[in-house]
Amino acid sequence: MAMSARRPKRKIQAPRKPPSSDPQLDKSFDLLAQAIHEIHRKNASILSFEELYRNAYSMVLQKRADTLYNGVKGVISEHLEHVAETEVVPAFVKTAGTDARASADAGTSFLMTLKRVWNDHTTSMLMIRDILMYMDKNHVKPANMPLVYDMGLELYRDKVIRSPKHPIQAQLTAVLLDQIKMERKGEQIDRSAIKAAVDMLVELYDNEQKENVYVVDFEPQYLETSSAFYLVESQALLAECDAPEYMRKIEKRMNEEYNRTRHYLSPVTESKIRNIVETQLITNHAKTIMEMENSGLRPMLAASAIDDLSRMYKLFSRVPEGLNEMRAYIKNYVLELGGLINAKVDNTTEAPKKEKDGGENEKPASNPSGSLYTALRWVQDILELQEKFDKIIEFAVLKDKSFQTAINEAFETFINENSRSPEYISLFIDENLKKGLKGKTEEEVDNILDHTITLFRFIREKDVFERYYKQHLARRLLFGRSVSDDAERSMITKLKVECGYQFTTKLEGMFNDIRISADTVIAYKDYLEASGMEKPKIDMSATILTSTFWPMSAATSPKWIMPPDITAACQSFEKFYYGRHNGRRLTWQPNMGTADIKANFNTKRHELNVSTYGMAILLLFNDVPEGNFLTASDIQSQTDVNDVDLKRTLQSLACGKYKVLIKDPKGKEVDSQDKFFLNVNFTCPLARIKIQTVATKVETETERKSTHEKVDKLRKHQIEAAIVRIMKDRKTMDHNLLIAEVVKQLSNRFNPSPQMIKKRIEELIDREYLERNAGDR
Amino acid sequence: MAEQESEYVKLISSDGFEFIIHREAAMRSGTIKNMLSGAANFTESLENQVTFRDIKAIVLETACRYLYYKWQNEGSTTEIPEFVIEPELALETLMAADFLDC
Repeated sequence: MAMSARRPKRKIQAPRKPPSSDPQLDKSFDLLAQAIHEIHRKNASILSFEELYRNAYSMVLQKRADTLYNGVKGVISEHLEHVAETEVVPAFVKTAGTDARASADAGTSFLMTLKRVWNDHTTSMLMIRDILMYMDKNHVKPANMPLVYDMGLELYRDKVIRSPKHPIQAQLTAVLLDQIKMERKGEQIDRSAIKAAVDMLVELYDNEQKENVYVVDFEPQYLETSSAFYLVESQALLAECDAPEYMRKIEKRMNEEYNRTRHYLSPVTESKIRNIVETQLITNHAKTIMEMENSGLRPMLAASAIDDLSRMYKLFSRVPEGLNEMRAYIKNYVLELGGLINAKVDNTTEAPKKEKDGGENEKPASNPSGSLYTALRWVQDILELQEKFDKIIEFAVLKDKSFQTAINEAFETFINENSRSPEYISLFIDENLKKGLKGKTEEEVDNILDHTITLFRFIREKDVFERYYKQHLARRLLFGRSVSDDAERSMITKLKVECGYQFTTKLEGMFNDIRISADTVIAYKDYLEASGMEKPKIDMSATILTSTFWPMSAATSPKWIMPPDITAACQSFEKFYYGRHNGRRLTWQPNMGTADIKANFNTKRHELNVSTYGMAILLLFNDVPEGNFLTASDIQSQTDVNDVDLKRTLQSLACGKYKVLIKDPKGKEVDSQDKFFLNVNFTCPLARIKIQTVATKVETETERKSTHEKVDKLRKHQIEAAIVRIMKDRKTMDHNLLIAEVVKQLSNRFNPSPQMIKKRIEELIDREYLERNAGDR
Repeated sequence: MAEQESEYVKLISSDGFEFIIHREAAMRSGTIKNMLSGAANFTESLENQVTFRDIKAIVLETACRYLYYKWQNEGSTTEIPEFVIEPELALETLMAADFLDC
């Protein structure tokens, strides 16, 4: 009575009865042995627990526990051997000559027999254990022997399952494997029977291997046969199925295996069998599946078969290299598609030249010139491609980051393979902001711009993009082509988010200039009213652009001979402006302006909106008698406009939608000897006509070169600035580290080459901004 | 175990005295617990009574008292009162305790 806690524990020697005579003890044991027989015969109810317990108790007290233990062991093993021979062996499956179904049933009944034997045995052992509890507690445990119950299990293991006399174990394994094979083939089997057998094996413990008998005896064979089964299975499937079908089948297989393990095998097998199935069905065939003709990964991607792709992703994610391979494959595919899109550009850049020769375009405005079309097509294609893969990433691969990265890399690679990508993307935005956005909701607009921004992100030469964007923005702003101010601003905001404040200051400056200019013009008008000066003959408004913000070179005004009226107006404005702002200089940019002129034709009077140059040219015809002409070189000498602009302007006046001038000979190209007549019979239903300058939207080769030169020049400054910034901070720095740091700082704008940086560093040393460390060579 | 497990069980001493105690209390003895429950269907669990051929009534009484005492104080966090045993019975009670596994 353990709870008499306070009382000091005195060791009290139990009074010993004098050692009883042997016959009585034997009688005790005989009684117990008899009782065990009865228990085995399920006759426990005729036994008195108290009596049995008391006998076992006294045997232990009389130091005869060993006799008892070994005696009981003997009785039980005798019984088990008997059971094995009379019950288990007769239930063996006689495989010879019977068909599959019958042998399966025989297998089940064998398992059921084994289950019954096992249940009987465990029940008996529990009872025996209870009777012998006193011995367990006071003899077996201190002696570190297996407790009675465990001893019973060991006996069962050695006498029944691993019986040296009967091939029970082989039979059991064969039946189990057979049953599982049947199920794999789609037959119904008795899962509970297998479950019972497996549980039994799990409960038996192999002392040498320190594992249960299931793991030691059954599992290796199971895994081996499974492996063989799936090897054959995979080949059969590959031979008869296409990729999606194959994947569906193996997915089903995997679920089956998982359920099988869960329902009636030991959980420890789960990972092992999964590994085998994955290896046999996926790893070994990943390449074959992906490269299957007409149904592999490529057709799936082409068709955006989300379900199949997602299945492939899930399956491949189970094996170590699966996703890597899949990712690499997809990346290559994207690169390939991108290459195709790029190739289209290369092909079509040749085309427009032919187009120009072959007949005039009826509506140049609605049918963009070939190369502009190419540019837009290019961007559109990429956007579509991107949308496609966005979908795939979102729905098929669970937004896997590594897939996203791989695909982004692919996009980046092929976008930058096209050296014109910055220009094209800017053109695309230009086109959309000019007309594309008409009739679209704000959301749609935002959506398009967002997509474009993602493309922008891929561009490595962001400064080149900036340059083009500025040019296009300038054109939009000055010619009032922009459809929506909001859209413009939201685009700027997006760029700002993407590249930082620095990137967009100039763009924002441009917007500011436009706004301030509007105020200035109002002030100018007021000034004219107030001063009572003679008003210039024309109504003029000027846009004052801060030279550093805008892309045109501000240093010199392009040369041209200003019509006298214009000169007067300009001077008047200059006077006003210089009066307000000291120290500023105005440079007129006629190539950026437009003019409204009224023209009297034979039938009608029209108001024409033309470029400033166009106005200058048309004014010349005021002095030309009707029916006479001016040659292109005449016009050139009288206006002094540079060749390119002149040609462009003449084309727009003579070859555009509205032919105000008549050109002889007809044709698009302007030659210096071509004659131009005023089209006195010009008619048009509209009173006000806007004659747009034929703008070559995509740059010509030479323009491109000059743009790149400009960009290069800008880069030089930026690199130098970065170098100085870094050196100011660090004072001294290793050459290579400096280069690395410069690259890092500039990487969000462009990728400077190390040579370029090296050159800049030398330059800075020459100009004594930097100094080589004296101790260094 | 009978279908309707009765709430009380009967313990009979070697000299024929019967002690009827609550099943829960009786279960505090490992030996009695095994007799009355577990996988076994021994006579005791069918008849719901146990005869102890080696325990006298006076000792069995102490044992029963102790089983109740143990049942009540199990898991108690407060001070557990002392369980008093007549000194002259101590030895036999101790042996019974060993037998009964309590």
